[in-house]
Amino acid sequence: MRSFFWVWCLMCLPVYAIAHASNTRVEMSMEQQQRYTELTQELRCLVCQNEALSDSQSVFAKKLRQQISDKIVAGESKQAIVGYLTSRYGDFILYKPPFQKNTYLLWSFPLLALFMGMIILSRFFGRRAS
Amino acid sequence: MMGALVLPELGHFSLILAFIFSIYQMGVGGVAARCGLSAHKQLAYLLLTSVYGQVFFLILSYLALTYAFLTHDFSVSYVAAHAHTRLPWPYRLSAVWSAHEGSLLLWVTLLGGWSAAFLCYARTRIPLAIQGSIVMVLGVLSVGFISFLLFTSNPFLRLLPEPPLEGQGLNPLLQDPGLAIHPPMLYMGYVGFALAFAVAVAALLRGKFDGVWVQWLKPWVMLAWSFLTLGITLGSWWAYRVLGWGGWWFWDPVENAALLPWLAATALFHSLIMVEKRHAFKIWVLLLAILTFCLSLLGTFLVRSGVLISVHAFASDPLRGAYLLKFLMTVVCLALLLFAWRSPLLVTRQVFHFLSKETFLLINNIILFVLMISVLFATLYPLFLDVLGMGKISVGPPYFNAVFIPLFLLLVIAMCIGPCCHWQKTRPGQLIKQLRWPICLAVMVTVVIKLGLPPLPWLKIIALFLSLTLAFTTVFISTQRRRLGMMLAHMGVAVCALGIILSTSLQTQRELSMRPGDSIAVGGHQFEFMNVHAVEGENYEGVAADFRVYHGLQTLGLLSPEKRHYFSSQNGISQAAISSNLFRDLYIVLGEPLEKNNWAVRIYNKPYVRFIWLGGLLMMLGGLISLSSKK
Amino acid sequence: MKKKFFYFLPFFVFMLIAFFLWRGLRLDPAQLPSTLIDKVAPSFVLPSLLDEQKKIRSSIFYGKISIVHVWSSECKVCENEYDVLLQLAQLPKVQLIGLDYEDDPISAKRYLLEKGNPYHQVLRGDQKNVGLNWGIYGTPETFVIDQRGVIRGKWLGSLNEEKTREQLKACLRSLKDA
Repeated sequence: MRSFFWVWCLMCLPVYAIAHASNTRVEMSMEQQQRYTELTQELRCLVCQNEALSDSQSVFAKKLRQQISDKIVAGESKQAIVGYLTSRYGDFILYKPPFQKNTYLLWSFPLLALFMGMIILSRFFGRRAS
Repeated sequence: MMGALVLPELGHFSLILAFIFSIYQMGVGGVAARCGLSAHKQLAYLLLTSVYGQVFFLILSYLALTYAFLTHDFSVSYVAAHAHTRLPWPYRLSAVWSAHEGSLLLWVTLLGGWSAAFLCYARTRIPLAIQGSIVMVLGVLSVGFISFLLFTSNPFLRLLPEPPLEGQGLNPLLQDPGLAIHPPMLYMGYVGFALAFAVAVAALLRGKFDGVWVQWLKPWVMLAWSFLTLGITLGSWWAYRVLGWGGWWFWDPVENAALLPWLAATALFHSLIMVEKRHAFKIWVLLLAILTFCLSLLGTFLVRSGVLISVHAFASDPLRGAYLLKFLMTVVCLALLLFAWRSPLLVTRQVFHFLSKETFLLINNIILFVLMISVLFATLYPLFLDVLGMGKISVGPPYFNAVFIPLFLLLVIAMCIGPCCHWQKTRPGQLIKQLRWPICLAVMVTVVIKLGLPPLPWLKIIALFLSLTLAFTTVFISTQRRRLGMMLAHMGVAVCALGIILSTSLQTQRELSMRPGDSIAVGGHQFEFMNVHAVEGENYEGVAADFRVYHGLQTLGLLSPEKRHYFSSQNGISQAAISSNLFRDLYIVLGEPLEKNNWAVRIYNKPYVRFIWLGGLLMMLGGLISLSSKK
Repeated sequence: MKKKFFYFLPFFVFMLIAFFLWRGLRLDPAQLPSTLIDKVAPSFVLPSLLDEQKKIRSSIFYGKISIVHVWSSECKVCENEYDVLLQLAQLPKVQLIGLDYEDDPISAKRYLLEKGNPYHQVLRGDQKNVGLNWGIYGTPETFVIDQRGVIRGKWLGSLNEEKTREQLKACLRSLKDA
């Protein structure tokens, strides 16, 4: 099933390959490199919308990766970079939805569901007492 | 020769005949169901002819399409869009299901096949009236899907009078053995749940559901589940090998669409045991059986309609989405209304002792259900927001990992304790006696691994400890009770979890630019870039880079990742080179050529990554064994 | 009565999901609203594509209604938009500004020479972070900017789409009336 999706995704790519083993990141320290990998994996490519920024080959993703690595080298924090991107592209670019008004339900849903499950479970033992 | 020319029309015609047979099947099933015990013997034959007739014509139709692919009949527009004269023949066979129309034809053919197999099984075991109900429900599904195929996505449409001389070619990414068999396996699973659905609906119609019904139902659920497990495993393996960044699960909606029925089916066959042994949970089981198939349908809808994943211009046809949704709504609404109406007849009251097998099966079901509904909710959440005009967001791997992993660990705890418990009541002393050695062993191994590894986050250490405990308990239990199927499947879960934990913690990766003569160490292995040379395949040409791999002084041979350019496609693709043994994968991808004979290269060392799919295979094997051991 | 409700619960939940799916069929999940709507357009100083010496500033937007069309010579969809663009350029009191997104200036110039140039001004978009500042991620994209330099609308994809063109024209009309 999912194969078909990948096909679509592929079609929107000019070239499908690994990309950014370029020399732009030579000057990064280990810690910066880790932050870079983390960030690019948590961001969504807006052109190939089902790929992380780190994996996409589109012009857009390349440009954005370049930007991010520049900012990291300049010493900007993760939050600052995320803020910079969301102010331009909206929350859609984040694979990890922020905890805010329109996602309270999303983040609390599993807990609510588990809580309901526990109530149901407890009722099975509750009956014994009565 | 003339015969071959009209073969696509014959295929189309057989499809229409199959459609008529499916209507007939619905009718005969209905009559047989109504006649009850007085049903005439001849009705049984009518039932047989309707189902066998349908599957016969479906297979004929499927063969006609396959033949068109094998002979490059580009006058058939579906073939022209997905084949090419230089496509190797095994991929011509798999190209049949490479896109919407063909995969739908495969779907209905499999549904016919499952129905026929079930009838074969049911003939001597199940009373005719009940057979009738079940066959009728299957008939309704057949009618729905075949009409969908005929009216919105006919694979036999022609490009006449001037057929193209060359096809557009099969997408290079799909030209891989992993993908050639992945969709049929997945569909076998999806479609197999149609039987569980049909049996559940029949049970509701008849207002009866007991141990005998469970015996009819269980083998089919197990079989479908095993196929689905295999399908998901293959899909993951394919993504790992072909997509070129070494990932094996991405939490995208299409993957979730396969995971949802899997979770529901896992809950289903665990609770089936409860009905069989304790006559409890009847309603719950029926609901799960219906839900499992509904989720399969929902998955199909999500993939086909593009409500979640339309990537730019390739959004799929809204007409098809609308048709599929109408069909889905009709089937599911009817089934759930029937459920609401009839299930009060089947209420059972049960009281459990806290330390008992029942409790842990219940916990298992609750956690699986919570997992399922959370994944479903999160998958659809962006759509909900969009419809309500509350913004556009993405829900991706960070969210799913945050939710799935803790719940999964709870499940693992239940899996450690549950199988050690007895029915009705277990003494805590007994439990401790059974669990103490596995836990001690797991603690020891965790400590050893912890000392030997770079620092791990605490969640991973807990996960490691729990997976090891699960593995050891499972082995300990199997020495006492002979339930090979269950043991293998649970072992599979442990192995898969270990694979995930270890491969993500131990993976080393380097991305760099290299030129021939360069050498680099990654994860204890030395990779020497030898040279770059041209390669040519049946339907592609490209370049390959040879890397010699050393472990210490010993050479492990040559790895040659390629960049291929398929004749039929605009896109170049990377073919990763993977050297694997059970304990580690070395994975090289060749990227873009850079200036001065440099190449972008990505090298991974992924220890224990094989365990992930090995776990999947063990689960499938466990499913198959528990199927054969039940007599 | 309460009991009954529980039996119907799966049905209701499913109906709710089905409702959303049904509405969702008509939405395009790929269409992203711009975060810049009703905000002042990002300021810039960019060279003109056709005259490297000439610098164009964001003050160009003041006093006129502007349409900023993001294109590139490699974009297949943009090729068919020429007629629509020409129509837009001929509207009174409207200036059509092209933004050549991440493109090779030489091939872009050749492209305009061959196909004709519908734009009043063409900006080079391969400089600095123009694309990023404008929240652009592909071609073609079209912005409408009012006389005070505030972005009033943004559309993704071809202008040949009936719906897009209608919305765009409605937006322009509302600006002219104001």
